[in-house]
Amino acid sequence: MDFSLSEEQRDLRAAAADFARGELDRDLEARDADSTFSRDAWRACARFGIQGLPIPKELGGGGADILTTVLVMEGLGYGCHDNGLIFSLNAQMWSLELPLVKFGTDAQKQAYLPGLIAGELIGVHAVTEPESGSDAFSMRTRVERDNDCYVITGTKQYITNAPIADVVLVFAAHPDRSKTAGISAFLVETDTPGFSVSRHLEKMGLRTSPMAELVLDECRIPEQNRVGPEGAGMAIFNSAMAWERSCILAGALGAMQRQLETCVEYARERRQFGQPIGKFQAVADKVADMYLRLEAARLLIYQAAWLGQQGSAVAAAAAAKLFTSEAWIASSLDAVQIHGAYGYMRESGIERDLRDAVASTIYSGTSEIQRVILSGMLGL
Amino acid sequence: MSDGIIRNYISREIIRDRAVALDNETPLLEEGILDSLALLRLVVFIQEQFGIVVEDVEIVPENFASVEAISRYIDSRGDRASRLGAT
Repeated sequence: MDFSLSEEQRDLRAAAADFARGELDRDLEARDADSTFSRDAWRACARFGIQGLPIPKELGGGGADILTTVLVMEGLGYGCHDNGLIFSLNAQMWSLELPLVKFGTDAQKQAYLPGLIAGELIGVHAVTEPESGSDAFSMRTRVERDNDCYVITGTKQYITNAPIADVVLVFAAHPDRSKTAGISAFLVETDTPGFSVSRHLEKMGLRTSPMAELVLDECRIPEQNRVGPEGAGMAIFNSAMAWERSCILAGALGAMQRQLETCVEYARERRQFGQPIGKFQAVADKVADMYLRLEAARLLIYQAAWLGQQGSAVAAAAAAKLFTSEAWIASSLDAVQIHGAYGYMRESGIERDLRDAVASTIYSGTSEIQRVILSGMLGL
Repeated sequence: MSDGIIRNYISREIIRDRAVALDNETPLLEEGILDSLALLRLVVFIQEQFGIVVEDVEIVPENFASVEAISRYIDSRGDRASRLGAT
């Protein structure tokens, strides 16, 4: 195992943090309160090269390997307090762009990747439904062939980026086939007749990342918009999930680093009973635990990214996702507690990290599902 | 030869004590013998056992529909590796 970082990789991480500090947090408190997505920040990220970073250069991307991409997202999470923006970026990169690179036709790549990379198009995939969450392949959205078209009907729920998306990778089931062999994936443009955003959803955290329910009412999709062969939906979904599990919480590493530094600084300056609160063991222990969680999470994510590049990281990716999400929540709670009443106030921004962190044990496979994967890989 | 190894692995590690008859033509996906997690485990096993990297785009029904399909896929990967090694 060798994932020691090159000087170039360290520079890229630092450059992402510098970029994020300068451009991405504008009006964040108000946007968090109003659940407002920042298209300006999205375009700024595209100009910096975030959306195209892991896409091969011949397709117009940055050609970075996955570990380098993870490092840049970590830098972004350190400099940018808008975890919702980073969540939206992740949703597009791992669930739409990489599946397109791996499974898409040349025509599909040329039609969508340049716009997605340039920040002119926004996309995501749509899997979850009212009746199927963790049991994703029990989906009820149906697809039927009609000459040179497919007709898709169903409802998708909790879809990140849905209200702002231009293109959605929709997963649907062929009614006459089994759930593992009978799922296909289709690129659906959001101005397709029959496609609608039916309900905007208000969230506890990640509020700057819009989410909605989608309805597909006999949407006619041309055959050339099917991604991969018929029945490849499970392979496409598993491929996207493998990358998401490994990489989606790279931004959380940056956020946890920022939290740790903020807490150390506060614990050194804030005085009670005649001394800095960091001199009290109860506070110092929390800071030590935050450091421990951060370093362990960082190693797990770097390892999962590195192993993924070598070919397989099923258990490592599940471990990275599981540990980092739970570590982020625990450290966010510690950060609020160390800051006391001030940490609980919205103006501090510290409670926002906690609200944003809570979702991380739910999206991209719940903690319970990660444990199922881990125990399954161990032979149980 | 790979079909026996694959059949034994699926019987031992995936089907276990369930009453499921398994031969080389049993439809693994259609019958629900391979769910998404079982498929991930099987892919990891194939990679370790046969020393090949199974690409995401290759984990499709055509290659994993039955023991026979999996065996055919593994053999084709071996042939490809041999050809690459010869050039």
